[in-house]
Amino acid sequence: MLPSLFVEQVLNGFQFGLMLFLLAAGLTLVLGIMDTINLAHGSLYMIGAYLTATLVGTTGNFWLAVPLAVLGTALIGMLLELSVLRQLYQRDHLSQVLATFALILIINEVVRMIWGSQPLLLSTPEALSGPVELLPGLYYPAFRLVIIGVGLLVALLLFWLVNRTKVGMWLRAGASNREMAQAMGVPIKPLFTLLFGVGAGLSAIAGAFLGPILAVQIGMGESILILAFVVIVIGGIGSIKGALVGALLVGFVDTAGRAFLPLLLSQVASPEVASNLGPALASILIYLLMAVVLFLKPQGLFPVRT
Amino acid sequence: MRWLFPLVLLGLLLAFPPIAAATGLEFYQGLLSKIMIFALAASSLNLILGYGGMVSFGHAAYFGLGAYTVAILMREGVSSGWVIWAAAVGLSALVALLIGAISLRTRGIYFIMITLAFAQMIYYLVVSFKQYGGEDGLRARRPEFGLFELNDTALYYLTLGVLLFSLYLLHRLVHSRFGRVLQAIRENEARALALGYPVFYFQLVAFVLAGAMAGLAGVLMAHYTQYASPNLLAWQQSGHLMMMVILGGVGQFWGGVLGAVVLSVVEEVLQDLTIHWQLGVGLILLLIVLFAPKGLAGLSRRGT
Amino acid sequence: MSLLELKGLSKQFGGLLAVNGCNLQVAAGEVHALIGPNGAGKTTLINLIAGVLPPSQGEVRFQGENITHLPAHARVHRGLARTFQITNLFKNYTVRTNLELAVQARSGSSFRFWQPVAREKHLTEAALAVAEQVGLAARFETVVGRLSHGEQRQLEVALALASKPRLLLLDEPMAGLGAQESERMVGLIAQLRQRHTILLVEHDMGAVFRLAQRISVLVYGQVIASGSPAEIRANPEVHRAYLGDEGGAA
Repeated sequence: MLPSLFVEQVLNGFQFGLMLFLLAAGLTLVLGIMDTINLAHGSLYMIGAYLTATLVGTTGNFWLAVPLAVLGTALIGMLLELSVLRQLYQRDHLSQVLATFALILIINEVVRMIWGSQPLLLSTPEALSGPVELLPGLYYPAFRLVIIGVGLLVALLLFWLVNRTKVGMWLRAGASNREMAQAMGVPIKPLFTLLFGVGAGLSAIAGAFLGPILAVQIGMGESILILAFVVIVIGGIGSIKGALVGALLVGFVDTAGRAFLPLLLSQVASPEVASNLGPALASILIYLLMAVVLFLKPQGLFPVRT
Repeated sequence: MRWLFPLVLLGLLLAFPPIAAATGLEFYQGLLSKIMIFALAASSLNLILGYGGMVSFGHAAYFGLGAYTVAILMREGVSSGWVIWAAAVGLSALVALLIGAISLRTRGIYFIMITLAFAQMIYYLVVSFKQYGGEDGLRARRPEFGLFELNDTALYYLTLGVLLFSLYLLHRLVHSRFGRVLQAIRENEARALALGYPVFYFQLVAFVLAGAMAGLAGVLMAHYTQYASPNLLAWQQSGHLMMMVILGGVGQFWGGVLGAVVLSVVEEVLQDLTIHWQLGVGLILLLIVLFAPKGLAGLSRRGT
Repeated sequence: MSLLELKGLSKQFGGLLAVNGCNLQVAAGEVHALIGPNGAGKTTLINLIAGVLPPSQGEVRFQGENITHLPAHARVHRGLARTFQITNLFKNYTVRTNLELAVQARSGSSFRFWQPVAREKHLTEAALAVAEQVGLAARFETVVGRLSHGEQRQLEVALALASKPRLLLLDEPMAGLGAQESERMVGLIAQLRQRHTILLVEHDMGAVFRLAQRISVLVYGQVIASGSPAEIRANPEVHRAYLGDEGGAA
């Protein structure tokens, strides 16, 4: 029984980590290239989930809804960049934190005005709602397998984009030295709008696929946003590779921690201590992880700038 | 003449409770108490954020810890106000010392994130204790001070007194040697170091003082609401305090107080107008950041 | 015994060896110039001596004490003051406040929370004295941002002076100065050498040969020659590496 539980949690961690990566990738590039903190990144994730849920409701087709929602969110992201974010590039971090915090408040309320305060229903597509037999006796939800597949595919596409294309080269140049990149003729402004759109699209994918598993509700962006920040701080700001490693690390530690820590504790301590301390420790585990990583490598695991 | 306005204001504040009782405006007495508590909390953040240049995104941790110490100690049978106050402020200062000692070794975005992360840790830790209310928070009766009973009016005057005294201490602090060095570090850390100032220790001391002051504000909040809410520890609360500081004027002496007053009033007014009042707050904040970054206190200064 | 001694000092940045087994002695009371081509590691060396960077290897000894692991701020209190090659002042403060801060750091503890610092007249007096010494008294109440580049370079030196130093580390004090301003700076340093030991990093050869009693030449992070100005001028290796000649006469 235990091995299958273990495998299940590993796969869950992998799945969650990949979705976190989608969020973290956009965030780390924005922070790395433009030195801009964007707290509203989680709001784009939320918009992606809401759009998906609505479109599934109208079209009845999950696979049609997702690309449309992603596109819509990407457009919204680009609009945000052109209107608000662009004003923040030259400002200090405090201003960026406050301005994007304001955006969170605004977007949350706008969403509430359009969709109301109740969580939206977004169910897993019919065809994928059952389990798949991976190995004799080992079952895993089909939908979660698809998430892993989508996550891997997008990660591969992103790596190809960043490492094998001209645009990617521009991004990497901008991440390690923005002024130099600009001096070399990299079109920073439109590149950045595009980058923002891509980041928004990635967040929307994560929102669309995590929506059926977690709840689609106001404020869902904030909790995962903090995780995304922890990921990029651990991975190293500006590094896609760091975002992937960090995301998988955080995904595993968080998932496995929640599943196994209470169990482990109950072996060594009384049940009531375990039932209290277990979840408490599990929720702070990733922050401890971040503190440890920062202590050993203050610039994260794969810093882009020295 | 410069003192006339503050003096009149002070007079009004002192005279308010009996006026309120006579005219049926008790609600506003409570509102004023709440505003003064936030003024204290925001001023404590202004010390490290405005004067010290340290963008701490986890200040709510000390605010909330102050409140929870009250609630938990009362729950555990401690009923002396003196002991509770000492414990709450002491704990906030101690936690600020530990968090500061680690966080202040980092800079920039890392500092912002690590202070946020520590605050999150504290939030989740506190909320995980079901016997202390978990996500519902914890009731907190008002303790005894022996000399007086802590009713609403007594609490009002106590809060006013604590706020004034704290502001006085803050005033002496920012104009002292320590205050001057703290601001110099904010202006140019490398230069301060080259002059021979142990930058880390100055920032750490400021961090601890600010944490203690926020803890004190948390104590008063617990007394006022008779309740310790997890919201006090949430990162949105840290954002809320930062909003006040920027509204009032980062690094301006009255920044915390002004910001608390204006934001609280705006929130009250908007809450009466619409259920979507947070949209209004968000828009105001966005406009301030984009167009009036020096805040309200900064608007009255001419030129640079 | 030398006032400052560097023994086998090295600094590695990833793959780059910026300072490579550097040995240097600065005697008390002398003006010792450090010259070398761009990228030779001069500013890195200053940062190592000042304590801003930790060395990968080697030792820094000051007044006989091993200060290799002493933090930067503590070295100031031992009597080591440095200027920055790229002006690094409190731009929004006046000359007066800049100097007062420098004086304050060396006038007892600043962990004082109660008394208004404005009441400490002795800080202002000491600050004014330093300002007069470098010729900035007329600009005492001017905001640094409004000073000319030359005046800002003067203030850099003034701040170091206000720290009551035994050893002045001057990192290219002439950087960006015009002819007249350079003259003034040379005059100032000449004045200072009567009372202070100076380690002078400079590109301006004219100033170097006028001011220095000893010169060390830094190439690729190593001191390749060290001696009197005449010795250095005649040294063929120095010519080859730095002045560009091939064994020619001075």
